[in-house]
Amino acid sequence: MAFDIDRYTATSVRVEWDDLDLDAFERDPLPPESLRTLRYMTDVEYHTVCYTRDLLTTPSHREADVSAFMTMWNREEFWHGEALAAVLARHGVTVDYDELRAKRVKLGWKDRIDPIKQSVAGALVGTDFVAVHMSWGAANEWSAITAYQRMAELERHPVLAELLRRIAKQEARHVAFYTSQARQRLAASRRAQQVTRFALQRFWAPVGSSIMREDEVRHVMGQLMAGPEGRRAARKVDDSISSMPGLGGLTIVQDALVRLGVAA
Amino acid sequence: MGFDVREFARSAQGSLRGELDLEAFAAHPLPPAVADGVAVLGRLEGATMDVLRNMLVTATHKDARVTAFLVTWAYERFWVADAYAAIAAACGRPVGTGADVAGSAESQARADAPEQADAPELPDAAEPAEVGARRARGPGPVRRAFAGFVQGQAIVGAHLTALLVDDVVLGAIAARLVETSRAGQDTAGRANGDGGAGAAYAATEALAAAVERVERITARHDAFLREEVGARLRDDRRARRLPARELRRWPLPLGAGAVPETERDALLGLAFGGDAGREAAAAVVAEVGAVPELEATARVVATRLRAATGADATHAT
Ligand SMILES: [Fe+2]
Ligand SMILES: [Fe+2]
Repeated sequence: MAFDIDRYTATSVRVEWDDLDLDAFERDPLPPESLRTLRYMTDVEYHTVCYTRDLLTTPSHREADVSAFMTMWNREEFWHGEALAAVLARHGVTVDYDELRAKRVKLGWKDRIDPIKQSVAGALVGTDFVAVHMSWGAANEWSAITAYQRMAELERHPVLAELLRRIAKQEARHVAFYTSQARQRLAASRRAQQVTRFALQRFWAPVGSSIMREDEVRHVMGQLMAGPEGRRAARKVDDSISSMPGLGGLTIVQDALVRLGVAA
Repeated sequence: MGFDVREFARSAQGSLRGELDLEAFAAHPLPPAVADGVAVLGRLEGATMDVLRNMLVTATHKDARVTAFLVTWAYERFWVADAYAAIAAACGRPVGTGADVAGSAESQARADAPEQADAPELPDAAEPAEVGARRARGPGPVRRAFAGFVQGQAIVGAHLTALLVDDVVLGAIAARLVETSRAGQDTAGRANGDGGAGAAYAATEALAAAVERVERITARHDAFLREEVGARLRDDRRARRLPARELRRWPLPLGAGAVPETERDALLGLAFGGDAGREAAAAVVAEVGAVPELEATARVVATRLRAATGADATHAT
């Protein structure tokens, strides 16, 4: 079904947590390994706007629906960062703008070159690159939902679970946008399918891989996606990705777990 | 720093539709040139993703306080654009889809191809046509990424200056649209003896109310931008030289790449042409020049507005 962009923009809100009892974390705090994962998630959410920059260097920004979505999407993700930061704050972990800046400055050369590389790649394959962008976005949003669901399952903390449920609900709308865009563009072009298949298989890595150290990525994937339950969740994401036109058989999430050495 | 980005983000203004008197426009539409101008103004307000695309490839994206601001800034401008689009539509002059106004995706991709790392300084006037054409879109991300690599953190101040200038220019355009509507409807009122003059005034006042509402929104953007520009340029001699130079390369208004050239020129002519327009242009230049360290930038703005309207704004200045 087509994504109703007007409805989405009209109903896009920042995730609410003022009504949640965050004091619960002081009585019943989360363990350090979960705080480490939440910290990773917070950084990734705050970082979304930087990721947009990469996406925006492709031809995709030309379209009004995409611009409208990006505007709301950016803001929702920013507030996911704020919400998770509020949880971390109850554990004495402060995430400040200045600290984030320090992290971004440290990204250095690789970060500087990425938008150039992506833009040139976009120029090479033209509009079919939009299909890559949209499929990539879908994969990331599915992963985000799965990560939040797994975190809620593992922790069984009622307040955290409710907050993560609210965030995941917004991620589901992001999935709906990206998949409707991706499906349409993949279905229309064999070349788009080939380019997307190649790009996902060759370059996709868990969200945050480009901005976080590898031991942080391994910690998060190890906590959330290890063991039979974790692998089942990964397979579900792969099944969703591979259900898109021309992407049958892709197992990018499971492949990434193997690469990271996450125990099955 | 004084401006509270977190509070700004928390109290972001969403849709304005509930506050607009759209029935007033339907009952008696604004003069066609004004309604078309409102439609184009909406597109210029809404072209934030184009602007971000050009800015975020450089060091600007590393500053989390600035990006936190930009996320909310884009959101509020989206709804400002929506309000102007709704007014134009209520006047029976809906905004075109405009998806491909600035060229196909392929030509865009070509524009993004790597080029020389830095542009030579451009003279203020008499520039080759292709410079103007390129400027309509902005330098493109690859070019900006290289340029940003060279300039580092100093570029952030120049970007924020460009946003501030854009706000001042768009605000002046909006005010001129109200003025023009008022003048047109006074004339119509006199010609008719009375006729729909009451309804015509109601539409103009509804536009004035909307513009005033938008001003309250952009006032917060300006507060942030002035504070940041001031702090960044005051302490950094290298950063101080950049805004004037950068502004020569950017489209003015910043979102001009999202609008067909003829429509953009018509709006700029209406806003800054003629005697009243020259006065408005001079006021824009004076407002920019009054910001500490932006005297040179103000001179570039004067040149750009003069070029855009084919008029000589220097006498008015
Ligand atoms: Fe998110
Ligand atoms: Fe998301």
